[in-house]
Amino acid sequence: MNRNLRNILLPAALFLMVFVSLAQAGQILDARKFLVCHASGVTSREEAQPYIDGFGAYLAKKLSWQPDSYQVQFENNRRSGVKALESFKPAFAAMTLGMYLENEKKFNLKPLVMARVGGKNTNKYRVLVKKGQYASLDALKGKMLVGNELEDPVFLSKVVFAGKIDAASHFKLSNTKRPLRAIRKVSRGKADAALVDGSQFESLKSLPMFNELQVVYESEELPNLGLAYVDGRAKPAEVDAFRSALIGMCKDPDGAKICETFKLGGFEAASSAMIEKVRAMYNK
Amino acid sequence: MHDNKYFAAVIYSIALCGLLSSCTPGVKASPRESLLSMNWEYRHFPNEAEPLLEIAESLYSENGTLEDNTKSLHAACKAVDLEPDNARAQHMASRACFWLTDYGELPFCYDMKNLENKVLNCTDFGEKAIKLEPDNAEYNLYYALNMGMKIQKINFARQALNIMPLINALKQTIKIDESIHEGEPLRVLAAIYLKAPPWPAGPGDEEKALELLEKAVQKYPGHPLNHMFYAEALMEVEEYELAMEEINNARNLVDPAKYSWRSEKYLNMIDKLDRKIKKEAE
Repeated sequence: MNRNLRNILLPAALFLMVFVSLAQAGQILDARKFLVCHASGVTSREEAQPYIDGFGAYLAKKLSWQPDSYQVQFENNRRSGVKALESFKPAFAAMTLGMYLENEKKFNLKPLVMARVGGKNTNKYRVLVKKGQYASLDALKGKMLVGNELEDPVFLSKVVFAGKIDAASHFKLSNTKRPLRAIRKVSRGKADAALVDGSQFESLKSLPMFNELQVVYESEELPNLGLAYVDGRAKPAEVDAFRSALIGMCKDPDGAKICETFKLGGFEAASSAMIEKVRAMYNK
Repeated sequence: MHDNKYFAAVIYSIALCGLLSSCTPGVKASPRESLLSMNWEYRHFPNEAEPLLEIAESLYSENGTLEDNTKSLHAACKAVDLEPDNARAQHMASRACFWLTDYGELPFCYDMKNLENKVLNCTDFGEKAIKLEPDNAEYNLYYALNMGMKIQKINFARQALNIMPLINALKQTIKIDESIHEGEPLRVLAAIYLKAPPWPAGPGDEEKALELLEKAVQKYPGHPLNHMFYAEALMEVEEYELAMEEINNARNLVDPAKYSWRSEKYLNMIDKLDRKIKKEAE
């Protein structure tokens, strides 16, 4: 190469490299955006932020990410969670199984880890009624079903009720953010049935109300999806590193405190077989 | 490193107007001046607990100045150093400590042995006070209030673990005397039930909160926060119209003459909740 030209190009290239790295300093890298969508809770974004920031800081430390190179966003309902998948464009996301199945194809989602809660990586839904009032799902046709996970009728119909009923037309669905309120309504005769998840059912056993209620329907054991990732947004090595950081979290002294706060037993690698089974139910 | 940052902030932020003859806003004492002033103050305070507690009592006021309540804390601290088993001294330190934290200042006292300012753990005073006099409602209340303040500031991961002792302390206060500060034990416990993670993740329970607040507004209708938290509980049970009524009641009861610097804080809380209720009701 002509020496004069090289003398111009080389500094120019160096300048460009420095400029680009300076421009990137402080930029959130796409592979380092993650979304936490907690669709069935009462926590506002403001209330959740310190917890989410702590979770983010823990992962960043494990993954050696600079503080200004990653971003965590919290959403507390399905609609804004899906919007965030579009606009925020996270590489990783915590979401409900229903939200995952609904958006799997559209956003090229893949399961990353399962969550262990109460010693299990699965979750079983149950329909509870006041003892002696209704004997089956059929008897509940046209009746009010309350709970904090009723905003996804497609998931309810195809997965929770395994295609046996169309939840939206079978029941009068009444969603509440507070599961104890739902159960109390049934206990007091103000609602006909309540849909509870596994951890709610286990916790209910220690309340006096438990003896007034009976189970009229149980779902299959469904996978507890912990987090998913968007295929192609992070490199395979980055996905593997993120997965490993999550799997090690609850055994790590710092991570264990976070797990305790979120009542998590731990994370494990996602089971393709389990996801495939519910995918088949959802797409039937 | 976190503590050093706070310590530096304290040195530059605690006003020593009561001790120094000038009190120019924005002019802060240097670290050396602060230590010297504190040393001077402590040396010139009485060396017996009872006179110190009289000073602490005369200076303490809910609507008082930062300077007076700070000096009240320092007088109580010295009394505690002289008589650690004096329940009243422990309580007065606990009370003033809470006031300062609520005001937004980091409370500290002078360590006469090591000749340095030490940042305080306000719950220590309350804990000692109730160990010495377990049936004193006010001692229990301030212990709980300081615990609540601490929970807000500690590592988020430990918050969930610390709520039950706070709930128990407030239940104990209510058992002894619920009427302090126009039903404060009732509304603080209710607020915790509203804010804590709800069942099954935590002790949060909007119905328990509602029950406590219905009692608070009926028996102690003059305090704005009773109505404000009642509005929040009503919002949680989707009674939006009633919630809006209570928000307006709360706002009308905020009297700057009665609540001093807290008025602005209360109005901000009320406005924030007002917006939340309107959003929820949509």
